[in-house]
Amino acid sequence: MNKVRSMTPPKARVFLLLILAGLLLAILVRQTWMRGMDRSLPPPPGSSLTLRSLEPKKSLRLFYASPEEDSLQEEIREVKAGRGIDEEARTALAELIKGSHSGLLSPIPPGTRLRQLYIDSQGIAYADFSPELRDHHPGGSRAELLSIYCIVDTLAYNFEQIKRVKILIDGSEVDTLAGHIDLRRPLKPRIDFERPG
Amino acid sequence: MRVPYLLRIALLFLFVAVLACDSPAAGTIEVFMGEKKTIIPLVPVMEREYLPLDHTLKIIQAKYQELPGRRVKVLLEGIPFLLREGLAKVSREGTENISLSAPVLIFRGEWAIPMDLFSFLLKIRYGDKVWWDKEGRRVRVGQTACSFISLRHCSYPDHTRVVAELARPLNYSWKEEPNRVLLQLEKGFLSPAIQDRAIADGFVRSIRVTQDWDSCAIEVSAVDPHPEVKVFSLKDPPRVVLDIYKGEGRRVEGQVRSEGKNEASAAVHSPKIKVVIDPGHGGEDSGAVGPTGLKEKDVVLDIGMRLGQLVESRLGMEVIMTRSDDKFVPLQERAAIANTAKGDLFFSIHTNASLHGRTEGFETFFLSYEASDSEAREAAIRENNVVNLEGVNPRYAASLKTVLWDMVQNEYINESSQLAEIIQSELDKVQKVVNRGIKTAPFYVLMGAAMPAVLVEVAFISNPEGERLLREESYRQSICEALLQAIAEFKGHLERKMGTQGESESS
Repeated sequence: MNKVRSMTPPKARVFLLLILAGLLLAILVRQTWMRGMDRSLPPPPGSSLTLRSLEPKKSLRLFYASPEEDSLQEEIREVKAGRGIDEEARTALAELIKGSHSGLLSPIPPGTRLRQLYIDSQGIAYADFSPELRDHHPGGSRAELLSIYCIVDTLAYNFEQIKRVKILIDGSEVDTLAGHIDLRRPLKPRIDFERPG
Repeated sequence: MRVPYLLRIALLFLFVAVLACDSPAAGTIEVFMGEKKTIIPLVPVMEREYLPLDHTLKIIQAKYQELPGRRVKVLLEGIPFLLREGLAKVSREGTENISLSAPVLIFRGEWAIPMDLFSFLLKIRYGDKVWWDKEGRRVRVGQTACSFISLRHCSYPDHTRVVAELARPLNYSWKEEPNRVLLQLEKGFLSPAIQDRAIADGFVRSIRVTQDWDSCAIEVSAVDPHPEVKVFSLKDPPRVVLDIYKGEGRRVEGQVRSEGKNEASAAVHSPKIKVVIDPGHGGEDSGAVGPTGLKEKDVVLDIGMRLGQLVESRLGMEVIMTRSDDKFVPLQERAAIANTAKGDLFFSIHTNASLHGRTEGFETFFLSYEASDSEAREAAIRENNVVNLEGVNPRYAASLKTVLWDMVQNEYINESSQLAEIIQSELDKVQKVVNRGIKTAPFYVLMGAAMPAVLVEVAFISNPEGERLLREESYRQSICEALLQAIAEFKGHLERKMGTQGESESS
């Protein structure tokens, strides 16, 4: 051991130590940073200000009823990109609820809020709405189809991880919104109601 | 020289390891979030267990800020909570105080919080999606991969069927106690959407679900002190089915079956086709309402009753009405009525409504073979026990059921779509508005019916002109005549089919 020591000049040893310490520091910093990312903590206030102009955008395809109410038509809307799919999916539904900017009809009854949204490992999105979605619904299978599939399509066509959508009201399962379409199971997207599927 | 040196290193390691293990020797709390497990080391302070604030808050994604006066402000879900060293309470800024079992402390320079504050914060963060194990050492939070997706039930004349739909097959066991059946699902994690329910159908009073640490239970409260219970599992999607009969269930069931057989043999001699007419909505459920207040439930009841009389008197068919007055009939009961009556045709009558008042026209729906529909309908009908293979060797029953199911399913879809086409062309003859054609959609009421089934939207009640017409008796009568024509045409088809069946049975 002494032999080894004597073979290494003190300067080189200090240098080696410094490199090692540097490496260690780099790993530590990176790990803390990664952990921060994991928990999706927001960036420190200073950095977000300077980066605002470079904020990534996401363009959403929002589905509204065509003027003839025989199909859903998409409207493109740019929003701030979110941190992760859950947040972006919530944003998409919040934007959908706001209504169309291009004169299409909104099939979501006024006053409806999205309470919760989560996506499970099988690609089923559970979208939980406030009771207005059901209680202020005009009824009729046509209006009901539009209300349900504007939600299902907006989620499924914007996020390919989402395969099917289950609509909940006030945190609970419901049979239907207005007495027609079966909501007991998650639904797949569809735009056109005129052609038999 | 070499050996003592290694020994020295080993001793150093041991020392470090002992140091590292020293503080969490008190134990840990394991937090499970989905597939992820996080461990919070506990800090023992004066024989009490505390959690390190910093570590704990990071896990539940809360932020905190130290304030002067040995206080700390915790920000969780946008709500600020204040803690002060030495005080056994947490205050939600300005408003209420919640007392804690022990004071908040600063221990070795770190903030430490008592256990009940942790469970309080979890409640704020995850609401009712927090499950503790019995010892309070493990907690599962948030949307875990729910393995118990949905709970359904259906009331039949002789039993009640409770179905637990699962994400994957689970081991299950059940216990029968007086007035109670307890079904336990191992590794069953309840979807938060599943809730307790009252049934009160004569067999079952209520169903309650409970979540344990790694299993969940369905508790069925039975009317009969010693009900006859049948439990079995089904595949695709995985389900566990629980049937509750009355105590003498088997015998009653046997009687029903033999009666059923007699009926069937009688039917071969003189086939009387049964039409189930289902006027939509009713009672507290008005359905859609027109611009001047005409209610769908009243219009469709009138059309349904007229049609029923016409079908009986002119076509000599047997008519079963799912409702014949202004009462509320749950959707699943409508299909159950049709199946119990062994209907040959299910005919649901509705009036449509759109988002704005201009939309007009008539359309007829049926269920398609589209994957989600067929899967759902298959489940609904299998649960309705249409393809009854009792007595068949269980080894073959499953595959036989699938084959039979596909055949039955195809037949229903073909016939439903034929009937829908006929209805649209007949309505087209009497209506001036646009023919919107035949369509498919997963209608709840069609889902459980084990027979060709259609839902016709005769007109838009939300359209002012549509509403005006629907008020006119002559218009409603003309719609009935058109629907009668459609049924008459379809009757011919059914009779040809039954005739050939009769021949093949007698040969």
